[in-house]
Amino acid sequence: MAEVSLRTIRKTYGSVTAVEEVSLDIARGELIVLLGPSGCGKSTTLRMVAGLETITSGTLLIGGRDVTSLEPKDRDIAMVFQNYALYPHKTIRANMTFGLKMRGVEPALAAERVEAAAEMLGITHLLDRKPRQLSGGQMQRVALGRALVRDPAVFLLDEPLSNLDAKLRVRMREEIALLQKRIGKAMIYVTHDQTEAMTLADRIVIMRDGRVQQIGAPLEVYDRPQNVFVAGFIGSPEMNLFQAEIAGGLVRLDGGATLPAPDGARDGRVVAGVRPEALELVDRGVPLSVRAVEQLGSQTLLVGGVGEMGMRVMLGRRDDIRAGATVHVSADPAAIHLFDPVTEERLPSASDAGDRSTRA
Amino acid sequence: MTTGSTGRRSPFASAAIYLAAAAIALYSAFPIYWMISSSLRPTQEMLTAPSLVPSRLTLQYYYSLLAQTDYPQQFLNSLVVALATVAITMVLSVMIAYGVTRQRIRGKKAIVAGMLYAYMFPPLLLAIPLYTMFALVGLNDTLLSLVISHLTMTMPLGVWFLWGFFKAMPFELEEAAMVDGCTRLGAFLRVVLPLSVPGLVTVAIFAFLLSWTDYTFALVMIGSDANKTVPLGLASMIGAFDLRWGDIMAGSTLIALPLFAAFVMLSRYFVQGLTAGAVKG
Repeated sequence: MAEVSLRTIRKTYGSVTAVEEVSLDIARGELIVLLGPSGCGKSTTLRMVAGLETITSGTLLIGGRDVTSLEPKDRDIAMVFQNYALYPHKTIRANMTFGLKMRGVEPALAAERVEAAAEMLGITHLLDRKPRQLSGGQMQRVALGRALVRDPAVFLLDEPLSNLDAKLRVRMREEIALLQKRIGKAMIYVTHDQTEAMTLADRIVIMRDGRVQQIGAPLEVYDRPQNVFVAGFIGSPEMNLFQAEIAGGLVRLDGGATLPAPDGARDGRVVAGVRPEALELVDRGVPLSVRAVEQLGSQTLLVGGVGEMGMRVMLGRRDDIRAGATVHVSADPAAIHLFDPVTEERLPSASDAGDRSTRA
Repeated sequence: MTTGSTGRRSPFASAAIYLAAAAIALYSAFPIYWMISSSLRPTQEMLTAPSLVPSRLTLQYYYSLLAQTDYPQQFLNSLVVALATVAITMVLSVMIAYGVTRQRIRGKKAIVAGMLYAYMFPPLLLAIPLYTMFALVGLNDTLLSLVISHLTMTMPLGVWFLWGFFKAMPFELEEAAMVDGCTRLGAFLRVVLPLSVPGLVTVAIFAFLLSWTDYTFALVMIGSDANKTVPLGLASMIGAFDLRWGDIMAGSTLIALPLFAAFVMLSRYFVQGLTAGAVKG
C-alpha cells in the first residue's frame, strides 16, 4: 500500500488555480522529487501535504488514513524548511526535542532519540549551542535532525539546500540520499534544481503552471521527455530544440540542415529535440558555426549556431576547436526526440515502443 | 562601524565625540538632577541661593505631599489607569498586529494605515469629542474614560510597532512549530511570543509612559479631585497665590520613579526592541 496518496488534489486561490489535480502514490522508502520552475505549484503541493495550505478539493491519505482536513500536527509528517526555521530562542537540543515534547514523548526517551539523531548527523557537539552560532550547513543538519527524531511516516523537504553554497549543496545532497535509504521512509523533496532531482529521486514529478507534466524515474524523464517543456527542463546544458519538418526519413531543420529521422517518424511539421551530449562530430552533417567554446574539464561544450538557430554540442574534451570554426555534427536517429508543434506533446517513435516493451 | 575606522580615528576626534556625548548627557540629566535635589532642599535655600549641591537635605516636602495632599490617591489613580492601559494595549495590539501580519484579511493595509492616521491627531482634537461621547453614556469623570482615551494613543503605537515586529519574524517558525505538534495558538504562544519579548517590552514601556505622563486627556476627562491623576494633581498645585516648588519637585520625583525602575529593569529588551523596529520600520 502506498504510504502517501494524493488523489486529484487541487488548490485554488479565488479564481486562480495554483495546483491542478495532482494524483500521486508514494511508496514506503521512496524519494519523490517535485521539480519545476518557481511558481509551478510544487511548494504549494508540498505544503498541502504538510497541512500548511488547505486542500481545495481532492483527498490526501498518509499511512492509509484520510488526513485531508487534519491539522499539520495530526498528519504524522516532519518538514524541513528552506530557511531551516530553527527556533532561535532554543538550543539545538531543545529545537530537536520540541516536537517530541509536544507529542508527549517521555523525556528520557526523547533525549535518547535526539542523541541518536545527532550522532547520525554528526552534530552532537552542537547540541548546546543556539542556532545563530551555527553555519548554514550545520543549521541544515539540525533541521534534518529535528525532522529525523520525530520518526514520521513521511518527510517533507522544501528546497532544503538552496541556501547553501554549491560545494556544500553537493555534499548535503549525498548525505540526504544516504540518510533516506538508511531510514527507509517516504520522502517528498521540492526543488527547482534539476541536478538535485536527477541525483536524488526515485521518481521525479515535473510540474509547470500547477500541472503535472510528467512523472517518472530520472532516466525515464531524461530519455523520454513527455513534452517540450520537460525536454527543455531536464538535462544540463538543456536540450537543443528546433522547428523542423519530417520528410523522406530526414528531419529537415528550418534553415536547411538535416538530421536523420528516428524510425517510424511520420512526415509533417515537428519540434525536434536533441541533447547536446547526443551530438557528435562527423565529416558531413549539420554545419555548426562555433561562437564560443566552454571548457568544463573532462568535457568541452560548443556554443554555436545553425543558421539562425542556436545549438549546443557537448563533446569529450577537445582542445583543438576554436571559436569561429565551423564543424559538422550529427546524432544517432534514436536520440532525436520529436514533439507535436501544436500540443508540444511527445510523438511516439519506434524506440519508445521498444523501450516500453523491455520495461514491461 | 568597523574596528578599522575606530582605530584610525585621531585622538582629537575621539575627544570631540566624548565631549559631545558628555554635553548631551549633561543636558538631559541635569534637569532630573535639579528636580531631585530641589525636592530635598529646604525652602529657604531653594528660593534664595540654590547651590549646585544642597548643603542640607530634608524630606519635608515628601512628608507634606504624602500626608497632607491627595497625592497618594492621585498616584494610585495614575497607576490604575496606566496599568489598565498597558494591559489592554498589550492584549489588543498583539492580537491585531498578529492578525494583520499572518491572516488574509481584507483591507488590512487600511487597518494599519488608519491606526497610524488616528495617531497623528493631537490628543486635544480627540479629547473633546471623546468627552462628549463619554458624557452621553455616563462615563465622564471616571478612570475608565481616561483609560479608553489613552488607548487612542497607545493602540496605534502598539499595533504599528508589533506589526513591524511580527512581519520580520519568518512565518516558517510557526509552521515548523505546527508541524512539530503545536496548534496555531500553541505555535504563537510557544514560539512567536517568546521571540517577541523585546517588542512587547518596548510597547509596554511606551504605553505606560504615554498614559502615566498624560495631562491633556486627564484635564478634559477628569473633573473631581478624587479621580485626578498625578500630572493633573501636580498642575493644580500651581495655585494662584502660592507656588509650592518643593512639593511639586517631590511629586515630580515620585512620578519619575516607576519609569526609572522600568527602564533600569528592562533596558536590555528595550534597546533590542527599538533597534528591531528601526531596522524593519
